[in-house]
Amino acid sequence: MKKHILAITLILLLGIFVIPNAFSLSGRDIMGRVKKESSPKSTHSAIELVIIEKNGTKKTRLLEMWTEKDNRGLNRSLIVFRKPVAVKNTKFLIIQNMDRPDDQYIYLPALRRVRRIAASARNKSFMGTEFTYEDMSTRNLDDDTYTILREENYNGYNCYVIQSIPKNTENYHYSKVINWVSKKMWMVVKAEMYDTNGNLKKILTMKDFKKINGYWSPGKTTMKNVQNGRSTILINLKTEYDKKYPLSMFSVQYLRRGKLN
Amino acid sequence: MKRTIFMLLMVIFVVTTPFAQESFFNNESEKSPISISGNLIGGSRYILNPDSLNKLDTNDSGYLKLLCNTIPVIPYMETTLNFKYKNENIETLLSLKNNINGDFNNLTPTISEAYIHLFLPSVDLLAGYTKLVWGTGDGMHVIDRLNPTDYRDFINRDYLDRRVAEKMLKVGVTIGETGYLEFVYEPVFTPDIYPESGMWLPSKARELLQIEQQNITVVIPNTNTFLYSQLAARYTFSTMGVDLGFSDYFGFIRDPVIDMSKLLTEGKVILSYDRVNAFGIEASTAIGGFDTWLEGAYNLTSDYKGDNPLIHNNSIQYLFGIDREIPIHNLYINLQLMGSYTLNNDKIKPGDIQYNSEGKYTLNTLAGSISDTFFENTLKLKLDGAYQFEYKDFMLRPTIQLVLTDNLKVNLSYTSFWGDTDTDFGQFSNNNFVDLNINYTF
Repeated sequence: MKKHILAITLILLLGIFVIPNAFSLSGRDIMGRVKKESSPKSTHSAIELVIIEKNGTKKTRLLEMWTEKDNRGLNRSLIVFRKPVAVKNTKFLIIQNMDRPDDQYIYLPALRRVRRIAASARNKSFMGTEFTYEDMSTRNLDDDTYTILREENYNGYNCYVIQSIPKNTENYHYSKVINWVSKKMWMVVKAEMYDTNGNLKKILTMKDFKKINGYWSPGKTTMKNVQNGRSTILINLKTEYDKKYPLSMFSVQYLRRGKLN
Repeated sequence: MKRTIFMLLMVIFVVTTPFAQESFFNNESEKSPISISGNLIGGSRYILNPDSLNKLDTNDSGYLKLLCNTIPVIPYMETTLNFKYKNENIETLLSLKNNINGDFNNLTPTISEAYIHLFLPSVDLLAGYTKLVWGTGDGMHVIDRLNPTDYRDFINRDYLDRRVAEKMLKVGVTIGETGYLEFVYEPVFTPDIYPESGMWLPSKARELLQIEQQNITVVIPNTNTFLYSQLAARYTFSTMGVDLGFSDYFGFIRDPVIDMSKLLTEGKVILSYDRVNAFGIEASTAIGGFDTWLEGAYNLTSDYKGDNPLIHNNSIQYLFGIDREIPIHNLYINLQLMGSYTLNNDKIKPGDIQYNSEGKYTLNTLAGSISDTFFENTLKLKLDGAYQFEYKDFMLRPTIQLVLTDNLKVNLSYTSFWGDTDTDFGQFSNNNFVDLNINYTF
């Protein structure tokens, strides 16, 4: 009997002290879960992109985007601008690599030329938006260290607030990123990006989430640059997940081939 | 002709209907599979040296002579109209262009490109009259051999606008994840196009015109026959962050051979084009924050010993390029070195078509561009330049571009040439000009 009581006591103690620790998540666990939950095999989206200048003037672009995972789980993305005619058929390709930075390419239809985006250009604006080429690339989970700062409610979402600091600051243009992760959706609903001087530079917000094919998808994503007063809004017009696309579609040669003109 | 077009459209319809939709934009957001787009450029060039205008005549694309005689300004206008039909697996394009240099009586458009491009899962077929760009260079290439160049207004045009479409059939095969193999057949050969008069008449063409004016017959071959067919193949792929390519062009050197050996005996000069097998290599990668690229070509002619005075010697050509976004404001810099070396040049004697009295058988040109943008990319300042090392001649072009809207741009530039009068740039040293134009895209 005494043994049973001891065992029950141990179980209770474990329940109080050990089990909560076993289920508590580290910042890395949370960001790992975000990557896993929001990472379908493939995505195909039609997006309206609105560039808003400091004085309020707007420019609208229409683009189409495909992403696909290869058999190692690495992402490949292809973006094709559809409108207006000044940027029509400009294509952007990102290939995630295991052991080195992403390969990024831009196809310029007026020159019929594919240009590689060197790492030195990654902090430059992507097609006049507040997204940089760096923002478009995929960071590996182990590129950053994570700290849970707090838990709080943001915009109706119960969130973990996670700070990400890059392990290697070379060729990375943010000193830290603070992410608000919805506990319900395991999606980042807000992110603050800080420049290399530690000043807040940009705020990314996502809202109007819908579940499509089992994946949460933001209806509206806004990137606001608090330093220059400009912002860029992405409006999701249509998305489908987990369709099969050939990996050859995500290659430099495919950009030149002109299939998606 | 109408029947042929109708049959072609029927074939397109039958071939493309069974394929599934891949893009959202093929028939949802775009209401019609037919689209019309275009470009309108209108502007004027102010020639700083009015003497240059005396070289203009009505044969020179018809410059506006009356106006030019009083005001040293050449107005010009260029319109491009593209009719495109596309669905999931096919794209057809008819591009019409009308280029007016002063002569506003000549409004007849010409076909700039017309082709059908069919996309099957791993193969694409392109047939028609079009331009293909091969190589990793930025507006400069040594392995891009499939289209002739129009030198009539070459100073003022972008690379693609300088190229002239050619009749061709292309088969492209996707190999693996990154490989792409292309075969091109061109049934006829079109030589480069040079002006026949006017301020951009190159010194070489001027010599030929002087010969013609002396009632000497210049025999020009008819290259619009199957005897002048060309074949080309190219394989490109990517590995370990490097984009690589190999190519072979079995065609002709576009620089003509001017055979004067029968001038005295038969009173004629014979033009011909040498067969060449041009092996090419291309690569691009990012090194140390720079985007870098290279092209190389080996031109194998039948004069591999270099001792035939009427055939081009074998030669090598190369291109190295880098560009980089400078971490100061929005500065961007682009540098390219393009060069050539004639092999066995010690065998080249006076009378050889490649003879150079100064013994210079290399030609190296450094081209560069530096630019910055201001006020949310609505103002762009750019400086382009090119320098030839062997002859120490160069050109410079500062440009101011105002982006009024997405579709509307205004460009103001000044182009100047420096060097001896027998050099590539120096021969135009009296043609310095200011250009103001407005460019509307729709």
